Amino acid sequence: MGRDARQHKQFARQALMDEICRCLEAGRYQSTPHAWKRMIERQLTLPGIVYVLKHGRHAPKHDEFKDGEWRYAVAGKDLDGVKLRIAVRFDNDGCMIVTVINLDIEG
Amino acid sequence: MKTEKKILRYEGLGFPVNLIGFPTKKIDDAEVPDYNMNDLMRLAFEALIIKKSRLTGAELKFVRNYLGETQAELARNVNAQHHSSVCGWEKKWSMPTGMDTNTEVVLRLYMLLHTKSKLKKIYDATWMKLNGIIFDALASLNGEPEALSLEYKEAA
Repeated sequence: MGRDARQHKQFARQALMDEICRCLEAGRYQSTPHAWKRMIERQLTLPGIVYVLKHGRHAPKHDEFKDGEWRYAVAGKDLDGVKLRIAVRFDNDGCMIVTVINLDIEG
Repeated sequence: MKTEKKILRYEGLGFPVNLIGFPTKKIDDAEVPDYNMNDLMRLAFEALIIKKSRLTGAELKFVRNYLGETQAELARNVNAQHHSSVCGWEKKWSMPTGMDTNTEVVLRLYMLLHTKSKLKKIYDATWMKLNGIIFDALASLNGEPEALSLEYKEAA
């Protein structure tokens, strides 16, 4: 197991969801331009995404190591019951929403 | 000498907003506000109450999600007949919702009840005056949807 994979597993054990919630409560989050595009395509808004990140669960099967950093997947339903999967990464400023997938449409 | 404040067109809330004078940073080659996102959402929510054009479908969905309500709950709270009305309004997305003016006034007053801003204090003091402000905002409508503008304020 490589160093990055070990770090990833350790982070998952230390409760990824708690870290995401801390960032959300403190307002330390942002979304990438790619995520904005996906949100508009899927008619989603930022508070809707925040709701899923707060109430969803970690989907480790969909975590991936890309461009030198881990992207973690969180899955859950929004207020309208739409199933979403959200990829997030972390940087010095907090939590970054990388992309949003509508599981009802895109599986 | 007066310097022009920088305007950033930001789409990260799910609908376009002109951010005036906000500090920015770069993410993936795009400029984004360097600002507390919870405060930014609150500012947008409050600005939508007195926005001088009809709310778009995306703005309505933002409001509902910000309030944490389902379509059925919002429909009940603004006296709409059915949650399918809210669904239809939101589906207009970048265009005005098409809800009638009275319903939009009720919605904006309902939004006001959920703020702790100065607007809320005005509301408590002079309900009718504020009602007038909202009616005036809605009376100056033109058909074209208009992006919301927010001016930078120090985070609380």
